[in-house]
Amino acid sequence: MSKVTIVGVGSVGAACAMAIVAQRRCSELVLYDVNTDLVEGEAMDLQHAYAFHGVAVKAANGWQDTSGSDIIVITAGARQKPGESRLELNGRNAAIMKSIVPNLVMHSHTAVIIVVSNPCDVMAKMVHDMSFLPPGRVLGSGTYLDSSRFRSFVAKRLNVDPVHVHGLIVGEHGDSTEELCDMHSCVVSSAQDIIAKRGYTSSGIGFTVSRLVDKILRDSHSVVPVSTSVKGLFGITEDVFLSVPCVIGRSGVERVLQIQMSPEELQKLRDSATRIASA
Amino acid sequence: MSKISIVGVGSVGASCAMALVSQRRCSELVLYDVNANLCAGEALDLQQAHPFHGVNVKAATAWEDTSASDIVVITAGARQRPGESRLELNERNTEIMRSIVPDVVRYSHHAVIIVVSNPCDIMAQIVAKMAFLPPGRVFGSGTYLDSSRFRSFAADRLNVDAAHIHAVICGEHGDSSVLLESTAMCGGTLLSSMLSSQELKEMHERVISSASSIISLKGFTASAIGITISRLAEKILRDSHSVVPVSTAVKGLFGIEQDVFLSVPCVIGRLGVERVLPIQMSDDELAKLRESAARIASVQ
Repeated sequence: MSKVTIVGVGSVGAACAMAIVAQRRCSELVLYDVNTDLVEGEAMDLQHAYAFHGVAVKAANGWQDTSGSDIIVITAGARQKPGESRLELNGRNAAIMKSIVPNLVMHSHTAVIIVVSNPCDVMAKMVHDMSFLPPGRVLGSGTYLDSSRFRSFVAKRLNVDPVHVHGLIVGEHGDSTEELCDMHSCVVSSAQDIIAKRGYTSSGIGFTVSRLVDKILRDSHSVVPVSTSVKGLFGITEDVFLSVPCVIGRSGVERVLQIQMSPEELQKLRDSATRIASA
Repeated sequence: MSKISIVGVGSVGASCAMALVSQRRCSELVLYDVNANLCAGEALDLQQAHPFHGVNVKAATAWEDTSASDIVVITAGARQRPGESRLELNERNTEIMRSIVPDVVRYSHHAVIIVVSNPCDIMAQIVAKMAFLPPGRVFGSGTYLDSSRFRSFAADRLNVDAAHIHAVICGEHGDSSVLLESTAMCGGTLLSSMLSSQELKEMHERVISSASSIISLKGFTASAIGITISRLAEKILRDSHSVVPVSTAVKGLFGIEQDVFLSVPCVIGRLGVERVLPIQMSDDELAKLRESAARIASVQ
């Protein structure tokens, strides 16, 4: 049916695996990590409930085990330290991506690649540049989670089903989107908040990735804010990735919706692009 | 619609939460832990994907927040210290349960309580005795996970869908668990006609050592038990009358004389364990089940 590979089974990768398995998004899930004990343990822990979820979960012994993947989720990378901004993780992660991307593409050249590793937008572009895949095939999870957080806060405040709260957060998945209101600042600081309380974030992003996997595999043409190449769009001149409303389907990002923005919003988006480009 | 509380958000509790939420088993999930920061962090992380899963997740700031739960999952408990006897561990766990159970029951006296904390069978009985709830309302997750593990192994070995492997592991959720080989089936065919006794025994042993295998690789087990609990929650809330091996009071059943809890095939529904199925066992299996009971009793 469908095969998903997750690269990196730290707390984020493990949460993605759990969400994907619990929600039965694929028939085969392969986990890859440099820590062979950890990846074997994680795969085993999931596979032991196979009778309950029906997803064949395996730990990869080499890159060839990831071959023929429909979707690859890259979570590998260093964890955001309390107080550390996402952009500061950049240097540490670049070397890791160099050891991962060529191998992945060699074995699954038709895959859609979802980049979760932070700084998400910078990483997504890096992976895209290393992959030599057609445009749209590599996307970053971006502000899809941020938008979900915002919708949760608004829904709670208004006592309305969040499904009917349509609010979009675009731009950088990180610190640069300026505060539009208290709730937005809550979104920007929410990751730090969870990290301070519990050490890391995982569940929220796990659900987000599981949902993206479903929309891609179903060729749903859903509109989601994910990180993609935006040079030339919305008056952006820098060659960066950031989140804008994208139509996604079986081959990744199909196109960007030319959503109407106020002059102020447009300016903030361009500022976001500038900030990413300067990192 | 339905409310579930989880007491203890260590790796097991957090995994239960993740499974329950991703499979949308309830409309409201409350997390309780003595570590307020951890609990708040876990709840926030789940709640922020609310548009994706639709479950209201909250961190309890007091026992009152758990009130009117339909199901309460208890994962809290002490870990065995090196050199600590089981008796000492039991005493520490009894203290912990004493600080939990009366409050849980006061605020949710209609709830079904699922005990996951290890040693599962002993803890389930401790909780049941403190709860003063009708019989069946408190049960332990027991060997439901063990049975799932066995079925997964057999499915892999035979290249058959695990849904069509029916096998019960009963008794202690531990070393003395019993594989009911005489009734283990694959699509209506006896497993014992497809696999040698030796191979079945090895599979069973793999089940018993599963937890320590995973712990030595990744530090703890969580995912499989999380999915197991999520499945139990669904069966309870849907009043499904499913037959599952979970840990319940067995004194007087299967010739067991000791006052213990251990896993046997139970029919579960909205009120917890409704009845135990008097499954046919071979003489050998019966003897092993009674040995398991004796073993649990000797540790209490």
